[in-house]
Amino acid sequence: MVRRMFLSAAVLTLFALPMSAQSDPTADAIKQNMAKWATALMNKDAATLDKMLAPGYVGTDGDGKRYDKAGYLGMIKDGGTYSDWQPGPEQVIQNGDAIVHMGEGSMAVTAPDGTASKAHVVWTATWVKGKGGKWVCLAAQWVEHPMS
Amino acid sequence: MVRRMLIVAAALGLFALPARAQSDRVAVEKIKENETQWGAAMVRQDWAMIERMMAPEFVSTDGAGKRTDKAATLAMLKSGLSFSNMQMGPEQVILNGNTAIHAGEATMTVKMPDGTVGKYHIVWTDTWVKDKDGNWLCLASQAVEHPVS
Repeated sequence: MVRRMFLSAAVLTLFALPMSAQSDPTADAIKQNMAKWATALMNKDAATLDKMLAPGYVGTDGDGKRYDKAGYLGMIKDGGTYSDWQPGPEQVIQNGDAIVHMGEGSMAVTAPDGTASKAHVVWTATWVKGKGGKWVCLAAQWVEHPMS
Repeated sequence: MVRRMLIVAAALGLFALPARAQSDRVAVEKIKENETQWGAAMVRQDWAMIERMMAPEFVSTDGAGKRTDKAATLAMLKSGLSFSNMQMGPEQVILNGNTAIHAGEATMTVKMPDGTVGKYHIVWTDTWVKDKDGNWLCLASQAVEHPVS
């Protein structure tokens, strides 16, 4: 009897391991959205970002400056340029209808005055389901540090 | 018959809208109240209260980009940090169903465990979620702090 229980436990573990190793489709969707965001940022593609941000979006940069949706999209269009995106580790927390994406990455930045630098960015972005069940970003705060 | 159905639907809509607006107002005020209580708890070093307001999966991110989970954040708070002269600044709450964003700021005096004292302006974005019992819990927080002269 005991031996059978051990065998059952072993079989259950064999099935359970691949299940836990499977990726979560919701987390994957958010990770894909964040990758699209980075690509849009590199390409100054405000139209793509427009679709990803909730109407009430609020973004906050490393200086503590707040951006509403229009302000953020304006900064993307008219601000500096970004290139050489290197994504770093990311983590997703799902709680009910909210998904928090915590990520980081590095990129090359060229300021509007032509100054070039490299920055490491760390962010927390909250996603919620918008109209039609599509995930939209409600808020994000990020901090960027210069890299040598 | 169709006309009556339309009238009933319109009337239900009229009642539903104010009820929703009222519950949204209550939620926004609750989030603001929680943030005020969080600040007050920091000043009186009531870490138990802060612990109760954090979701189990809570993650905090500081101005250096360092992440800390719930246990590590509480351990850091208990390590000898003290806060005083807390002055809350402008705040904004964005509500989306059972998720709320609190975008707030404050200035405060912080005494480090080594005795160093500084005044800081802190700007944060907190994500709150409503649990199954109707309590709002903080799921994530990212903040940036700048010294104030």
